[in-house]
Amino acid sequence: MSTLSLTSTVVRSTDQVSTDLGGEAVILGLQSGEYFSLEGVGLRIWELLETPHTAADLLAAILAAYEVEAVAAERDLLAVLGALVAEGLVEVQ
Amino acid sequence: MSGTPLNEADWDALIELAAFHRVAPLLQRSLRGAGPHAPHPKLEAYVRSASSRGLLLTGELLRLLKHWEAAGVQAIPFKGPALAVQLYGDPALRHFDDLDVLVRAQDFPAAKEIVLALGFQPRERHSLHESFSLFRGDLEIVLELHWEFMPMPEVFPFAPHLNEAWPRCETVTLSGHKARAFAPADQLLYLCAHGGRHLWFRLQWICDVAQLLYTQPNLDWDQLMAQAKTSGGERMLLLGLSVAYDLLGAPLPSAIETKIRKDRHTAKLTRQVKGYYFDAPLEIVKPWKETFFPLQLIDRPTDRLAYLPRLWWHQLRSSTFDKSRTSEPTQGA
Repeated sequence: MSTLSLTSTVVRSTDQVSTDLGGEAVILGLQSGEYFSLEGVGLRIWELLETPHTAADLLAAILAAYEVEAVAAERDLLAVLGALVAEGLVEVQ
Repeated sequence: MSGTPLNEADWDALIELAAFHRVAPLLQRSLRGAGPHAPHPKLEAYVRSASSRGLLLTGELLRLLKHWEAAGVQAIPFKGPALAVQLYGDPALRHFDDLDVLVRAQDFPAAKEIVLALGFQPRERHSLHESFSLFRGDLEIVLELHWEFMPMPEVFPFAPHLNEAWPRCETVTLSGHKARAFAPADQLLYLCAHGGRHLWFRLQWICDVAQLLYTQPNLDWDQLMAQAKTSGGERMLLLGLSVAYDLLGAPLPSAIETKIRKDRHTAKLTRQVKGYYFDAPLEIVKPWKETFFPLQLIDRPTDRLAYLPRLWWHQLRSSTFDKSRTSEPTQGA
């Protein structure tokens, strides 16, 4: 498994299907058969990941939209992306 | 909408109605951020449950499509998640209970074998005149594998002609996967045939037509009307357009609007459909109505005269013959 960094390009994997419930995305991992739910910042990241983005782009979007401290935001973003990749919902290109 | 919030009983009634009409996801989406009518938690819960189920079926459809593709079987998913993505951009915005896929008659045996190998079994009453019913027990998913568009095509002679629809197929993207879909004009004719056959009793079907008209402003109307006329489906098309226009304000070119308004037959049928909605909102259409209503949608007088005899002949055949006898295409069809 590759290590995620700000230069990684990420996108939704094709091994999932998702729907927008408004304020919440429900995602079904097709390999695991498990459901996931994303809200708030996680939801925003998911929406952006419909098309490929670098983690740096995503960070910029978060910093623009939310009042968060940059270092913490970067750490949290990479953690969220790491989790999504681990669950097969996002892939690194 | 007035500012008076709905009470608990109102919400229960609304959710029941929306569920019957299969428009709960659309309702929930429209009500988001709408102040006193913001979605009730019960509606949210219902939609989450229905949408999650929709995702499960979508995933299964993708699995089937992948295996058919690998085996060279061409398949067109229609209704269900493919239509949801085509019309609404989200697989769970249409409520659907099972999967419908069309394959070519000559590919049917291979398609069926693949499905059986993927964990499905034939259902007890598996064979209809146009599709074979399969069931995956662990996920409780029903798949209707079609070789024909509409049941009893010689009884309902207004479905778009299959061989012509295949080459016109388009591609939709279903969660990053490419899938075949009917071209919008063929999709519209199908929606009008299906809805009309069922007296337009589910609002979802009218929404689908309206949404198609809204998202496809550049339909070739001359070609569409000509196609409908050739297949004997002009009345059926006009009624579908009329109910979408009248009940939901769907956009239509002014020439078509005029045609619909001036056609007394269409106006009469539209009133019947509206009467059903406002007088008997939760009634499943009675069987005798479902038998006679489509009669009014058949263009050609000779087809109208033949309709009842053909229908009864079909029903007689299905009830008297061995239920395991199928009309499915076999190898070498």
